[in-house]
Amino acid sequence: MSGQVVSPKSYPDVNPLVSLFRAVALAANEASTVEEAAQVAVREVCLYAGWDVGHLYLWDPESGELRPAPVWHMSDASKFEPFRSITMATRFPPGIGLPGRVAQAGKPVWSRDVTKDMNFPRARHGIDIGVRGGFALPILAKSEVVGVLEFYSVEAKDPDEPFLEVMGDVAKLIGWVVERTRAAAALAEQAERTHLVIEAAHDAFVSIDTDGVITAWNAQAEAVFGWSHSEVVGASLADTIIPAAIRDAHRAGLARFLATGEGRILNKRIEVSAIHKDGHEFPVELAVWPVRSGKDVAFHAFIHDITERKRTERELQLSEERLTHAQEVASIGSWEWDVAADVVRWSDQLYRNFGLRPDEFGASYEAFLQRVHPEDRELVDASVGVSLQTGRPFQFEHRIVMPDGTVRWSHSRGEVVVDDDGDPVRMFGTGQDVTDRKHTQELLRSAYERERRTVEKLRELDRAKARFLSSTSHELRTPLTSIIGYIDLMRESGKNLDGEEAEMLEIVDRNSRRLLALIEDLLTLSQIEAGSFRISYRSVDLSAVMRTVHQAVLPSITAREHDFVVNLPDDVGHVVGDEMQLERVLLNLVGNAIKFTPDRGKIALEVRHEEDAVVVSVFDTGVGIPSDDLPFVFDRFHRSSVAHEQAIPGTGLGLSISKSIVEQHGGDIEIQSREGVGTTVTVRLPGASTDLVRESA
Amino acid sequence: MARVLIVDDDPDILGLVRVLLQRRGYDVDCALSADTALRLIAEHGCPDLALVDVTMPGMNGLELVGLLRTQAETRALPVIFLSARVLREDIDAGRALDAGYVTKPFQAAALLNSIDEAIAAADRLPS
Repeated sequence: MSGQVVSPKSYPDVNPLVSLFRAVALAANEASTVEEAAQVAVREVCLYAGWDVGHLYLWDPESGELRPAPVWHMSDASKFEPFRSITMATRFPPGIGLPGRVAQAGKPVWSRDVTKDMNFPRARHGIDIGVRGGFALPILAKSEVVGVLEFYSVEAKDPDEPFLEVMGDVAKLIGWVVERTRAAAALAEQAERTHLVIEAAHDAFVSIDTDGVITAWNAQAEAVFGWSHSEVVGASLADTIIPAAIRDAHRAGLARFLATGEGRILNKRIEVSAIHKDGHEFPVELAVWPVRSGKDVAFHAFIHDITERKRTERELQLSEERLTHAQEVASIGSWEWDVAADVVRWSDQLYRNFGLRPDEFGASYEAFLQRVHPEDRELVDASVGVSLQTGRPFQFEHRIVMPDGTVRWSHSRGEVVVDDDGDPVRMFGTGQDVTDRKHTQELLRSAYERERRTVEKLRELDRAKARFLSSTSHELRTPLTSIIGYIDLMRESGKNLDGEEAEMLEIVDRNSRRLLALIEDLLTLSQIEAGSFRISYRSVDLSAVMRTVHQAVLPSITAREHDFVVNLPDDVGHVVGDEMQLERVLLNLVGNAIKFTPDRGKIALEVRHEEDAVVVSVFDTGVGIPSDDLPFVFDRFHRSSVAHEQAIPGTGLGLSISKSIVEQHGGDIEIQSREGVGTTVTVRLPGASTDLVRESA
Repeated sequence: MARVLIVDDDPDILGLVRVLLQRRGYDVDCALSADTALRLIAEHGCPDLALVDVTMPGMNGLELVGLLRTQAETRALPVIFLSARVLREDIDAGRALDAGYVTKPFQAAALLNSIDEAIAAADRLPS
């Protein structure tokens, strides 16, 4: 730096004072520190004014003292060495010593002879410091003392006012250096702070110049775009992160700003697409602002990756769409009621449910209540009231009246939101149109009701039928009782009847009994059909049954001159069932055998025991059953072709009823027959093991 | 001679049974209704056996026998129902009153046997 200093010797014909100022001003302009400038100043002042020593004290704000700086000019280094070393070891608080007095007063102080000055400590060391006359002046930066320049001469000197004035200007020049370096330091600090802020920012920070060339690129920009600082600074922004589709718009925007000073995207937040180093395009939010410095303009931008936010927004939107769709499908609308402000908010679907447009609804609780069917209003109001009081949710179904008068059903639910005191502040809930469901329920209910009535009617019919059959049977039997009974009496006492009359009486008797059998069968059949045929379950002594049957059929057997064989085991045993019905079955089977066996045939009744069963067989040598008829013999009203041909009387009900009775006993019946040879009917009944004996109550 | 009370609203059947029983050697009281039967019992005392129809106008046979079973004098009276009602439940209802049950139309011999047996059985009981 000293090499650049222009010494007055280079300009011999220039006024020395001008030379002094030029040298100091140059130093002040170019020096980066106050020391550098002061070095020039002390030398130039000494040379210009013929002073022997010049030195700089700097104010140390931390200690509140003046501190000696290593800035010296000495006309004779060895001569002033003692003074220099004392000075370098001496600090001055304000008011002490020549520099201290300057610092305190803020203006120059002159001492004619420092050795005689009472306030000059450096002359009190007992040695000759070689200096006498001295003066010092402050370096002021914005009227604050930042340093003191001191000058000494080997001779005592009287104060020189014009010289001090010149020196004041010199000190001012040095003061500017201080102000300038302070400003520069502040600026540097500011820039550093800005840099740190930008680097640490959560957003990417990018700057470009007017050519669109990248000039700044912070760490977050590296993270967001994948490009490192060194890769992109100096490169074109358009070629780096701007998608091809909007590159032209970007360039046109830059050009327009330069031409007109206007930019559409400047100073606001916008959303655009950007390209990552790996080529994928993603959404960013961008804030750009221009910064002018002189003629130049820089564009700074904060850029934020909003991929995640966009995705969330999209999902939220989708979810809202789905909710809306679901509400439509289910006809569920939602509502919210600010209780204190009495403001009701409805979803679109709820408006549809009520058949209203938003501008047709008063949006208050009362406005809602007015839409409720008058007959349901009290219920709805009371339910909501209870809910508000208790804080418990409500749900109920009620009718609403549409603007066109149509009545629809709504299923309403609601919940209460209470404040810290437990007071209701808000209710929210849903309303679902359940009209269709209600109608369906109504249809189902009425269909069920019809069905129930039909069933009831059928049951009643069944009961009526049973009553009818029972009373019919009774009414038919009563006259038959007299007919049969009196015929018996007549025969018994009819010794004076002739043969022809007796035969006629016999015919009447036979036909009465046929009529009785027919009534019997019809009653049983109708009971079987109505499912009301019941047998009683008792332990039945089969030998007694056999005796009864034997006695009953004996007259017919004898009349037809059949050979009748009864084969019983020693212990015939018991079965569980209905004695009368079992008798009926056997009478029917033996009766058939008698009817269908020509006179003087052979008929056998046999009982035998098998493992768990008692088997009763009725065997005959009769006409047999044609094989064509065999599958149908148990059908109701079926009569074999033989019965028709030979005019054998019968109703075609006997075997059908017998089969039902046997099956009610848990047994089975089968029939084997050969036409012209004979027939065997086999009845198999469960044996009377003890657990089957259910004495009827 | 044992006395039998016949109760039946059908006079023809009443006559038929009366002839049969008289031929058998029984004394016979005839009643066309339950009320008459009760009056005859009151007048003539308890018979040896009652032959009672079930279906009758007014008090029916089951009600009549039910009533007789509540009275000390007639509690042990042998009873045979003679009825055209032949359903299982009808027969069970009759038997529940500790009575025999013969269905109409009846076989004279079987009916007379039942009556003889019932009177004989009652005679064997300590009175």
